[in-house]
Amino acid sequence: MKTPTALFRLLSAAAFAAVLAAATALPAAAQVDLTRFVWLGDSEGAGFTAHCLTKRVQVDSPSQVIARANSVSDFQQPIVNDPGLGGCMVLTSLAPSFSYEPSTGTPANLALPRPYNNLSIPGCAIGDMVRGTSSANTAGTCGTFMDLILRNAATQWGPMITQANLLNPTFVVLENAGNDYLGAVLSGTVIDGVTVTPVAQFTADVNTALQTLASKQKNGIVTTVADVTSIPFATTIPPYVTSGGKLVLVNGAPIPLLGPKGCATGVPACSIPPTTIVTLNAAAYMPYGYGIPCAVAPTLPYCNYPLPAAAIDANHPGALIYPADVAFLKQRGADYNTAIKAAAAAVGYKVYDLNALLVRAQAGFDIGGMTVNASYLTGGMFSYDGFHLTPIGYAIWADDMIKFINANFPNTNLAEPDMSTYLIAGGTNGGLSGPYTAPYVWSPLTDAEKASAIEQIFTLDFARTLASFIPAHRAAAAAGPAEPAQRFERATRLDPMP
Amino acid sequence: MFKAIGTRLAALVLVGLAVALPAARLEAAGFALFEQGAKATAMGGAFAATADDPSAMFFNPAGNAFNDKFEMMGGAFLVLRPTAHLDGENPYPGEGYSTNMKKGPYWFGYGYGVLSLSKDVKLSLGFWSPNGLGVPWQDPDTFRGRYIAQRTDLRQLAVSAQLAFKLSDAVAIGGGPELRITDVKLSENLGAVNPFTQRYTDIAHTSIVSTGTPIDITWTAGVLIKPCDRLRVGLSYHAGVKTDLSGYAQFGQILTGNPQFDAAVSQQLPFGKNVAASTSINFPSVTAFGIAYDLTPKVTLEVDGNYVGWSTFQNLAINIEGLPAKNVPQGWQNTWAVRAGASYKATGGSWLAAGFLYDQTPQPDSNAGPLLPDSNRTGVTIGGGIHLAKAFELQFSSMFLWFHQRTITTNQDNFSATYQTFAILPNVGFKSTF
Repeated sequence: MKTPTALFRLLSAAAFAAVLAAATALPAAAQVDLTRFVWLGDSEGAGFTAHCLTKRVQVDSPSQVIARANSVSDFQQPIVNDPGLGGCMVLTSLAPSFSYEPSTGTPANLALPRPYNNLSIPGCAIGDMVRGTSSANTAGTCGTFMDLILRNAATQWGPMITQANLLNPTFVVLENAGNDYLGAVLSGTVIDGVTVTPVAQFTADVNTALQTLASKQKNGIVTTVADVTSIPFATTIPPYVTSGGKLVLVNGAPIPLLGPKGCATGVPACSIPPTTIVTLNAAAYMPYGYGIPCAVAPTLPYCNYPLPAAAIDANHPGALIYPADVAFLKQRGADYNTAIKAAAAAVGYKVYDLNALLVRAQAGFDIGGMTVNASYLTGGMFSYDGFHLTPIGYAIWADDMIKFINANFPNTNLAEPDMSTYLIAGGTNGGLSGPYTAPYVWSPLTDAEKASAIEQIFTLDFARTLASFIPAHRAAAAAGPAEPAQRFERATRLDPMP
Repeated sequence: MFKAIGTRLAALVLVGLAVALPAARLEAAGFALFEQGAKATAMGGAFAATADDPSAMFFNPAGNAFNDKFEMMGGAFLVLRPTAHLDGENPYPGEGYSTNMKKGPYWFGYGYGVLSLSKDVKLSLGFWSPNGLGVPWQDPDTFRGRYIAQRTDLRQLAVSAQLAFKLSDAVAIGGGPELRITDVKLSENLGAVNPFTQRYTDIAHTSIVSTGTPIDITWTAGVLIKPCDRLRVGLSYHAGVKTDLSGYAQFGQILTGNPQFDAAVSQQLPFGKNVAASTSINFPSVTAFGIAYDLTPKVTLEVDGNYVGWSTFQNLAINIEGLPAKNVPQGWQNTWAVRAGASYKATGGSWLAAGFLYDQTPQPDSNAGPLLPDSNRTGVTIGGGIHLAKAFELQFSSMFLWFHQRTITTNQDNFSATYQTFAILPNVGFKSTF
């Protein structure tokens, strides 16, 4: 039998060993260090708004908001001097109608001798972030801005993920709001493998991106993609005929808009199902009568013609997403997010649910008695283009992400931004209506116009403007919709409604 | 003589109504008021067992049973706030932002009369302000909480007739009905995102004002026991009451400078009209327990506990005709307050007193904000009474009240701030004994 002293020693040794084991088992402190904070992303990460990339709003990109709130001293972005690039939309009438600022912004920070902290490139999908190096191997808007932001013609620093690692980052955010399938909604054309990235490709790319980033920095976040069927671009126009902002009712029932699918043989246009998405592209067609029964608007030249369910040509995007395609896109978003979560788990990155934030935006955020929501034009969250955020929206996102970081990373207490800067002042530099003075004047309304100012949503000007959301469409839109490629003879029109 | 006394009592009540109605300011936690007598206040509000002046109508109705003379008592408080400060926190209204409540003094009054109907039965008439609230923010048009509240006023007057019965030399009971007269005024700005600037902008100012004199009836009762010469135990209860208020809302447009937006706004709100509005408030019950002990014939100590049934205040529903109902969750909790006081009887009937109190706030963090930034509070009190004539005593007291600094970051309106308040409540009153 052991003596008490021996027993005491044994217990002491056991206790010491237990303490030592417990201490060594403790996870390493994961305090977030923003000293070399890097954000990889797309237009939302870049601070793109209302059809343009401009300094007035870039200074309030979500990454810059986070960095500024936490006094990161050398956070660099590819700033484009006002009036920016792309042609910022300016609301000139509540009718509504817009004008565009000139797209003459010049780079303000092109000679930075290192990669930018905010490497977000408008228009880029996940594959572009992994492989894209220049407009030579990347199409569309992403390629155009890639040359400006990655600067590989001069630096040869490589694609976005490589440049991020060159910074030896202390914290990483990989943001991808949904360019892998947003184009399907913007163009009104849903084709897997063409306007929608296949899941296998997306999964491979997101794994490559996160593994590459995690090889350099284990502390990081990846965002979910947004549900592209829930943005104002897809939710503002109801699938029914409206007048003065209100549903037109016949015998108490709303009148569905007309589309080309599911119609009886020989009938080119028929009622769209109630869960069909009518995108803002429809505003380019409806003033001419597309989608509207002649029984309602007999004087419109193309009444009883269907709204297009796919792009007619390069200048005329589709305006309808039928329920089957809506379900497909929702499932595709869910599949992307499943892939993101699995890839993040594999490398230890946290998943920030950007989609959940945008869903919450539909109900609205109450900040000091001020309500910000996803309503088009008046909600404050989304900009005039219907899918990019405003400085207010970017700041809400940044604040929510800071809360997420503080809740999910041990020993971390990042400072939140001062939201009054965004809500009341419009942004650090005043937001889109900030210091740049656009060459436009307010359009005063007559008394008659005042009476219906906020009700007349779909005027011709508005139609032209919205059709120009996709840059390739702008020239055509400025001149008004062209003759439709898909023309129906008057004889094929539907009978007037009783 | 009785007619003359009755006339005096009626006059007292009428004057009191005029005096008390302008009064509004919270100085007990929540919006209950406990400063209903100079001597009681000087003792920190610990008076349920002493209850030896006409303010017993509030502190313990049974106390007047031991009063064998005709007594009248009245007075008024000033509420001074050298400090009533708000420091903003991120994300809103933002670090670096600070403001104050207006420092203009509030005041309220009270008045009581006690008449002996017989050796063991006493009739008392009186009025006081059982609840009151005043939260006026400086520079209301630039106050960053202006979309929640710019100014909040709640005023309530209680008018009561009570009977007190001395059951024996050691036991008394008392009680009676209370009429509660309440009015409320809320004012705030309304804002919206200006589509042209994509900034949040003031578009209207609205005031909601209750009208008429809504009178609700509740009741109060108390018991006072003297187990021995030097010990007294008191228990009193004021029942809660639900008040339905109606009035109107007025909207005034604030022009943004953009004629289109202003025109659109003008079509959305009923500017220039009085729109019917209504609300309901559940006022809490108040239970007071007290033990008083005469250390010497001249020195008395008392300790009280007050239990306030604030859990009845769960919602503030504001209905404005033609607009969506606004329901502000309150979620208040029942609270305790601890009060202690000591009094010293000087020669000639004069007295000195001092006291201490600690009062819990019923308001959860989620609800503390510009509408009412309540907090726990600690107070010390001092006061005295001077016999200036055989039938006239001048009373004075002062309460020094420290509202505990409270930092709120989980407010339901997402208004994060640190609040600091210090108040001084000087009181002057009189007591006449005939």
